[in-house]
Amino acid sequence: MIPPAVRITRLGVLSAHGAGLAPLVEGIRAGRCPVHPANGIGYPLEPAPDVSKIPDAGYPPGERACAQQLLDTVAQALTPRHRVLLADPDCALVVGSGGFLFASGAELYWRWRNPDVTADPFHVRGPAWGATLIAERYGMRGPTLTLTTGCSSSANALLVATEMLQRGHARRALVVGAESVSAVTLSGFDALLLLDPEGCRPFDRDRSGVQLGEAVGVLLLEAGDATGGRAVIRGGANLCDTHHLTSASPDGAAMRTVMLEALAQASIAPSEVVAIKAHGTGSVDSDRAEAAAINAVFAADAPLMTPVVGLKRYVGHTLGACGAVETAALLGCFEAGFLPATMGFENADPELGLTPSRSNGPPRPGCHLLNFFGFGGNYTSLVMELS
Amino acid sequence: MPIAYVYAAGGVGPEGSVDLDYFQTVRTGIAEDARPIPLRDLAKQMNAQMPRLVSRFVALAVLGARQIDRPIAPSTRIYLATGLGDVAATDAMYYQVMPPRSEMIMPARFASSGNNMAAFFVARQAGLASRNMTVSLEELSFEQALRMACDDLAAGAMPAALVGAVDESTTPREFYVRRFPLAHDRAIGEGSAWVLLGADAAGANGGIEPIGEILDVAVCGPGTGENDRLAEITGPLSYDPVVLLPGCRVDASDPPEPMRHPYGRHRYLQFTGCFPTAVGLALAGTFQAAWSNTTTFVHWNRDAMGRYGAMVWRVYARRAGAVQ
Repeated sequence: MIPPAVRITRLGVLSAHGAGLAPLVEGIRAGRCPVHPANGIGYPLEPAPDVSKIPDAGYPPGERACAQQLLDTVAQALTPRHRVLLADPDCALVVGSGGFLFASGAELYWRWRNPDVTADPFHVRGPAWGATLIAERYGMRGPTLTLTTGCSSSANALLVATEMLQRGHARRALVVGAESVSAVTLSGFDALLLLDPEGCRPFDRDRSGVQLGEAVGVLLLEAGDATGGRAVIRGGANLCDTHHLTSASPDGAAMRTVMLEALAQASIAPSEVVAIKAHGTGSVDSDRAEAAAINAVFAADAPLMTPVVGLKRYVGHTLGACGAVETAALLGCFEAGFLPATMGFENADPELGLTPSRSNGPPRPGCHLLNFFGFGGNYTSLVMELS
Repeated sequence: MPIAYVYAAGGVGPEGSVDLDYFQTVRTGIAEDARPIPLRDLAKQMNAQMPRLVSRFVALAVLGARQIDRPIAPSTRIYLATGLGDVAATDAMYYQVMPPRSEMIMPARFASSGNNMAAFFVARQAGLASRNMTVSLEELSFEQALRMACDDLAAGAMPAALVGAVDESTTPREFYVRRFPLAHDRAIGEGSAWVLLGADAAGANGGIEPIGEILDVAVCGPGTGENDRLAEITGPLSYDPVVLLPGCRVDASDPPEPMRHPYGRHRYLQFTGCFPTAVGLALAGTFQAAWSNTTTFVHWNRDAMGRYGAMVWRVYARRAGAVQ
């Protein structure tokens, strides 16, 4: 039996460009990358590194800011009719995030600065905090789960939700990715010498690390011939590269495998892929492995002709949220009529044999491969068809 | 009709390895919050080489998974359920980085303490390179992970699944119950329990015979016909001895109508202590006893939002050393 098509029908984004998909897409078109020092989160060193922060729009302090950002972005994504549909038992909720302890961190810092506050500071009960918040707000009764698989979290949420719809276990699924920059995350990446003070430079000769970001991404997936379908998720794959906690297999073997499995799940050949949205963190090892893997899959016998795009300079590496946010961004750019440039890339690295897009190009209808690779060797590739 | 077959089960809980204690020798239960499992001693006892510099949560996961004493095919997928995640290490990092301490974090400590690092190290130790998911849904995390695994098995996505339930206790109790609210008379526990599942009885795992089967797993939202769904689950259960296992958020003395069959009852929380994924340890524990009759177990629970979960599994009879 042929599984039903899984379409993305609604989108919502909150990023460094503000609330909404349109500001993000226009920011990408114009080559903007709003970054600000990560002040106000309790980072221990001065000056705090630049990050792609969500603009302060009068959010309440502490963890309530994280809650409001999450709920506002879900509301932004949906029409009143869709909000009602969320309460159907056949609507799933799949959230991907590092675990929402960043909300506890925000609360801890706010309380340290405001010692008069005495109420219970621990509302974040566990990684499912965000999902429960959304489910309670909208009276959601269908299958609910949270995936915490590091930077591939919300990509896995898209993958798992797609499979639920393809198997008929739900008719629609709300997929959410969310992450805030916290003092722990920033300190950890800094301690690992993985922050590039110049910002993210995907696949560039001089790249030296990531540029952290925070964002919320929301996508509504619907099975079958849903009206208003904006893209089709054809399939995907996930695997675990056990080479190292934070470094990929140098030859990109596991990344190559996950890309090939995703293409097999989508029943397409590499030659049918019209563009690749790379994970492209700008870190030395990860980009090297990803370039090797892309070349192995797409340019085994000839020079690489498939355009490669990296989006992390525009929004930062939003960690567990990047699957939802970058999928929405790529789709938004397609609808706005362009395939984005890889901002931050200037000089080709001869070691990589890969030159990502240098300027905005025409949109490419067809299947796009999207890569999302996380710490703990958790790798996910998705195939999204745009038409 | 089973939705999955169980090939192996094991884990570690408040009393140590469930292989040694659960159901057979531990009869006293735990009256107070369980003492932290002495992981270092346990690792020595198991002759296990632990990865260096990992958090306690990761160590707990790895030691629990080592109790699976059957060959595991490399294509086996991992589904690790956790209600609270790597909360102790993460909290400690926040208190270290935030004022007034304002210290930077050790790189290795940061790198090894994410929620998904537990599943990574389990995969590495077991030589598994397939799908690797860390799943959370408060008190129903294990049920949801098991459901996902069974759905993937039914879809033919892989031959076998390793499903785990891992949560650690933290002190003081006052802090723990902020994240996982418990009544005063409920003891806190911790554990790491694992089951190896396959899609068929023929022995996808190197020809080994199954030791039981998963009959059903349901995780449902509030207001979705709980009694109907539970009746659907318990309706066909007249052929075996049936033991009812109530979870920590349900009133064991007042089960819903479909659970009022004159079942045997086992209050497993007295042995495991309460934690979000304690049901995993209960399930693994039932496979350690040598039941003289094939025995069916029914577990049901709720979470704070009113979602409910139920699961039914059978443990095949084993004659030697039977306890019934």
